[in-house]
Amino acid sequence: MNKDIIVKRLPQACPSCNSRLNVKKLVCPSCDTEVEGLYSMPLLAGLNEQEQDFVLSFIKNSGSLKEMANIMNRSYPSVRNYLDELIAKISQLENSKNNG
Amino acid sequence: MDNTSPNFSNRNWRLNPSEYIAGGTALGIGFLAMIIAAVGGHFVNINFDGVVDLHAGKDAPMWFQISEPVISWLIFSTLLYITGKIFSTSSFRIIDVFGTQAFARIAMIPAVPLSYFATLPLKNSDLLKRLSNPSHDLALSSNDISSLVMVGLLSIPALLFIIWSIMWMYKAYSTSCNTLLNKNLK
Repeated sequence: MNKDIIVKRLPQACPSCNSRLNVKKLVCPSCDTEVEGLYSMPLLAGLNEQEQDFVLSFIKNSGSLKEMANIMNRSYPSVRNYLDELIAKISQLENSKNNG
Repeated sequence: MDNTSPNFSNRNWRLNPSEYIAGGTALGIGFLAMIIAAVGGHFVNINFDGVVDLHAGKDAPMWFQISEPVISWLIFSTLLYITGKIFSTSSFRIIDVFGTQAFARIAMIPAVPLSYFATLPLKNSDLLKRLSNPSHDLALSSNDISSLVMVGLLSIPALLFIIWSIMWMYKAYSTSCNTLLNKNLK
């Protein structure tokens, strides 16, 4: 197996009970200093990779849905609907975070 | 940038072209399609005098036959826009509603020659004349029945294109007004 093609993805949910994961340990890649504690993940980490890419691309294109439609080769309303789905998902994540 | 593409599985252009084309482009192409279908219909006496269907037999001036689909499209799209404003929680553009509804009428173009061929068996019989004049004998001969059966069978392809067009209209409405909001998340 070629190790070069392995892409590590940040796990979002517990493989055992499917609850949202928190961060327990942070490590400095240059001096190996470790910080241990309990930190909640940022809200955007709750989105999958594809959704995060969309958000980044959307911001980089100054929030232009027209530009996003050109990049994604989709119609304007179709991209608008996808954004609506993301907004709804972020609201759900916010609610679940606020409710503990 | 491929990763930014949302999951559009099972949504190809044949089922829902409004996922790929909307706005002014769809409006231009769709309007042209309406004119082509109406002009084609003029030469074979096919009229688009209904909102989502067509009828054979009426001989009318070309301006009249062109204005029929345009008026029905304008009225239908306006109603959809109003219901979208009432029922959708999303913000949407009027050009997308009118554009995608016009584009959905492309599927009506093949229905014109298919409908014309479907009515040919009736043109060769005097059944229509007898039906329109009650004083004539209305008893159906075996030729009449076979003509009607042929019309029924030959109408199926045209009917499929009309159904296809209606499906595009529904998909265009749900996409342009986002009436399916949040359903994909559940």
